[in-house]
Amino acid sequence: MKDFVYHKADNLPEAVALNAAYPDYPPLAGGTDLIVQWRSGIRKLDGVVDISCVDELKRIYDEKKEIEIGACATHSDIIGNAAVKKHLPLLVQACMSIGATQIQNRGTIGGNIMNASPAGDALPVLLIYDAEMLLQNVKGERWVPVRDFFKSYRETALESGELLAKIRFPKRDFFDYRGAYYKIGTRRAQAISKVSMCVMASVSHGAIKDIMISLGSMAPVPVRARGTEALLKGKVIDDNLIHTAERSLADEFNPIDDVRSTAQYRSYVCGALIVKFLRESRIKK
Amino acid sequence: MTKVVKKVQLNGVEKMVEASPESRLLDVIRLELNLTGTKEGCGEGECGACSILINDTLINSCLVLFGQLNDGDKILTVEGLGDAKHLTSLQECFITEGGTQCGMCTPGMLIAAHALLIKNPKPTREEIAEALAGNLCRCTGYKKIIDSVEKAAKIMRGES
Amino acid sequence: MVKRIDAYEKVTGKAIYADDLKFDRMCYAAPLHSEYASAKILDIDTSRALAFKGVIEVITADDVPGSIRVGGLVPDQYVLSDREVRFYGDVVALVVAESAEIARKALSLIKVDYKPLKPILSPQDGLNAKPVHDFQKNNVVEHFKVRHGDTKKGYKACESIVEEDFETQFIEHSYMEPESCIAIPNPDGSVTVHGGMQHPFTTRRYTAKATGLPLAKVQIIQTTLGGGFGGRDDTIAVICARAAILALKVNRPVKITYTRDESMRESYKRHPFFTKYKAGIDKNGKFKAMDVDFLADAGPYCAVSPFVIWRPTVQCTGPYIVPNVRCDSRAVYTNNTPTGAMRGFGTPQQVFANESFVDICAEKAGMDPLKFRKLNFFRQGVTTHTEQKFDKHKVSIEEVTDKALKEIDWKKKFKICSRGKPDKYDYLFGIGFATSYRGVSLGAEGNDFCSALVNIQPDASILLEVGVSENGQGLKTAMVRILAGELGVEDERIHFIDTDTSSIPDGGPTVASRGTLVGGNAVVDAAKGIRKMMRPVLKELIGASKKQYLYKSGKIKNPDTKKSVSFEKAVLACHNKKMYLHALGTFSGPDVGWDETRGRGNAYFTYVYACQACELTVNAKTGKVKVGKVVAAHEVGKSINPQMSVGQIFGGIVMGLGFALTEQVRHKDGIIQDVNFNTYKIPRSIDAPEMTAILVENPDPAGPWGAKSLGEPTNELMGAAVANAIYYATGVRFKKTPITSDDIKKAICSK
Repeated sequence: MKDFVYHKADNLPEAVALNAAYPDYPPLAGGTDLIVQWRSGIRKLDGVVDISCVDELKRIYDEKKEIEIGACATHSDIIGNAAVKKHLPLLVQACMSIGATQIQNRGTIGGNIMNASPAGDALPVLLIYDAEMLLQNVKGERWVPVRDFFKSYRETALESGELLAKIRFPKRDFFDYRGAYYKIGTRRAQAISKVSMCVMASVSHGAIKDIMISLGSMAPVPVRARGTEALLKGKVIDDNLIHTAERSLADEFNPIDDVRSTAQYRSYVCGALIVKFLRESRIKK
Repeated sequence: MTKVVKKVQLNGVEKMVEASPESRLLDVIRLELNLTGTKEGCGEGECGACSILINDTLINSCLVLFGQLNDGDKILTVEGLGDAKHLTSLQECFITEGGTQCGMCTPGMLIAAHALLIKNPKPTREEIAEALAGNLCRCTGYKKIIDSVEKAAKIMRGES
Repeated sequence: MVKRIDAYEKVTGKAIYADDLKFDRMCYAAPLHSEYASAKILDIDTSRALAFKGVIEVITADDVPGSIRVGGLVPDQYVLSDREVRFYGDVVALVVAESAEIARKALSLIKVDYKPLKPILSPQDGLNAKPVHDFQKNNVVEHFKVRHGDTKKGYKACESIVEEDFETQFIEHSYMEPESCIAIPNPDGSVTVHGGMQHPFTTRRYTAKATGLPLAKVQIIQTTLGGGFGGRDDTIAVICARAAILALKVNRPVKITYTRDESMRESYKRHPFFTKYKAGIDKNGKFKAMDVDFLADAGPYCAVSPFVIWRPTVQCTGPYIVPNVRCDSRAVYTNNTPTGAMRGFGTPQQVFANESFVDICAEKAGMDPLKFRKLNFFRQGVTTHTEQKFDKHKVSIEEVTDKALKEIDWKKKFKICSRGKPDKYDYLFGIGFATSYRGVSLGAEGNDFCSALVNIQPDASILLEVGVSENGQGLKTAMVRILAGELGVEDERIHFIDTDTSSIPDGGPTVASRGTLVGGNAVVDAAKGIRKMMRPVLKELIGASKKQYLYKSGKIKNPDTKKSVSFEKAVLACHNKKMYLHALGTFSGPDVGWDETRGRGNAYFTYVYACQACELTVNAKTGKVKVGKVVAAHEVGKSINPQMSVGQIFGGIVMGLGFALTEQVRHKDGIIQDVNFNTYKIPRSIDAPEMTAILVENPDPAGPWGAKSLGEPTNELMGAAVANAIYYATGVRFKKTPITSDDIKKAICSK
């Protein structure tokens, strides 16, 4: 058996270089997934590239037209950031639903993305906010929009030698939108979600001008519910429409049974969540 | 793997610590530093028995590798609460309010509560429960732990 | 307020649990678990592991010097599996190395050839399958019966007959400290084991058997225990035996500390029960006949399964008068994870079924659940279905029920239950309760005796050792409190010594909520011995008296002359007279008995009573349950330390909520699925409801200072209380635990 290899990057170029030089050693950031997988034997690990102390990767930049979040920003960093709170409130909600304080203080947004679990709590939010991922390797960098990023179950567009460095969110005018983030788990805290949903809608005079719905744990990757969105757009919210939305959303995906929940429950609940959202939207406006 | 040396502030005392970078901080604390107050309950960040503070931030020491520390990091374990002669109000209240039974979760609970009171000296019961949500206890049903933290906060504010 | 005497070391991190101990030249061992639920072992190749750098030794079944099989009732548990594995947590080999990490790494280098067999996955399957053990005729571990009156005749007189099936799950104790122990070989050939176990004497028996040493050469010292709840008996005992074998073999101290995954994979669980209740009710709403059938999954090892099904057999009717009763209880071998003692000991399963059933019966009889219960409750002096007359203790079932329901305002809230109609926010409200009676201590299932050693030093400080042990519940504090009271001294004067098997006689297991009762009585007896010894000296110091001298506030007083002497002076005087103030106190339980063929007898010498009520809301959209408030009233005889009693109640309630709603150890083809707290969901701080505890005191003549017991009844009622409340909220009756949000949502949707 070989000795464990531990490389620690002190700055971004070093992180990119080490990551490229040692493709078999995964980047280590918060460790809340990687260390658990390693210790429990699910994942064999001969070495890591520790990027957890790279300052450039931890920062959150409030730019003119966008917010850029370093991949190693922790959930607590995001929750406590004023600009994120203002422009990306649903991301704050999602981060607050992740684990307990200890996990929020350590787990990173980049880790949540790169773990690429269909149950990743922040992932539906990325879809709604049209996030883009900055992937860097020694030769250069590229931006990949979130819709192209998650390929299939736990598989992403990241290529060997590339490192997720930043996540960019355009600052958009959501002034007349109402948004919500829902997570259903076994327990209130520290539970992996059975279903998560992020939804944002603009409702005027009882009619839906625009709506975006994204879901976690309903498919192998986080998904937008395009079918249901199309069905709802331009319609007046009434009991009939709410009922249609519930049925449509439950029918749009084929979730699976696993250790956390059943397909049937997931379908029921995502239907119920859209009902809740639409009813509240009707009351609000 | 060759060992590395880090200079840390351990419970207020500067210390050079030598260990393999891939060792869990929990193991370094228990085996190398002989501070066995920090406990291992699950090894997966679920139970919080290994909670410590790094630079006043609450973390699970089972999910941090020694290599991830930086020189100058401040580490606080249960042994660093109070001093040889005096218990902190939190420790006192865990005794008087029945906040400890088997005691296995107690060090982690104390550290998590300490982290809360640094940030929020006047927490509601709900906020206390929320702050302790990462720490499992099987004995108490949590009520007396929350009572203990509430009482300690009051004493620290000079209200009782 | 009485402080816990061990609280200081616990809040400073100074308390020493087994894994905190270090010894010179200590090495570390790790277990290789089976890969199948059932398989023949064809070959084990340990050579590559042995060659791994840092590995000291690898052992398999061939290296066990003594008996390969151990067990309390039936020696059917393998110290190491020899030719066959019987569940997924069986241990096939052990590696001992210079560090725990090396030992675990080397495990993967051991090659085991298996021939998989078809596993038995349920007790129903077990009834007709080939025996798990070739020395058994069939898979029935035990079958208990109650035959009281004539049920057939009873049903004839009935207006309605109700019949329901119930099912409960595997529950993991979830003590926060995983198993840990250190075995130290001594130069004289004996072995000392330090470890966290509930019953050091079981560990000693297992270790002696497995090592081939006599009991006197095995010393077990109990370390601070990170929770027990009944779960630290057989599994830790076998782990200690393995550590001892290794220590003797490599002649170095050997530590074994389990990871949580290893602990949950190997340690025994609470028995799942499949329960059938059938009852006949006459036109006045009274029970006339009852049939009960319990079928329990024992896993591959007997452990204490017979006792676990015996208790619910005795208590099968609940606290109700039923003139004609038939009960059959069977525990059956399977290849699932073994099952054994857990807080409640068969009753959380039985009370869940029984008290859900009673609510169903009440509805059938057209009565509210309180009125129906009151009509059928035990009364003072009743002769129960096991033909025991309840005249030596106060029957307080009605008292606890009234107190609990008044506190939670049940009458008013029962009327406003949603019964399936959600409010405009989509919430459903419900309130429910459950009641129970419970035999105290082991009863006719075991020999109820215990001892205590009191040793007074020349400076009047006192050493106390008791044959039952501290499990984290506060036993030390209660024992010290009792002795301090008996000798009229302050608690601080007494030093409690953790159980050491080489210095105190076996006091029987600290189970069945018996610690306070048997240990306390032994302490009272030892104190009596000390006082008797001191009498002649006191006569010289403060004059003769026909009456008892009074021990109070650090003084001993002659009740006639009013002359007094300080405790310290009296002790010193005894010492100067060459007198050893050293007494062994004993307690042996009042006579109990059980006729197995008909299921009758004085099963327990006294009983406790309890009622727990809860209110909750169900989110009709997600099926999620939020328990808002719980009130628990427990009759305890007398509380030695009210703060700790109340703490036991709160802990029991929250553990009960986990049983009712979120906890389950699942198996897939016999392979355990839940091995850590990521999927095994015990309640967290934010899941805990608002709780009120009511201690009802009716001092019992059999208990020390009138005290009975408390640990377990607190944990047996929440299942039914929650199921009943969910019924009045949703209109759906759930007969299987845990009642998950998935199940509730599904039921609401398909209604």
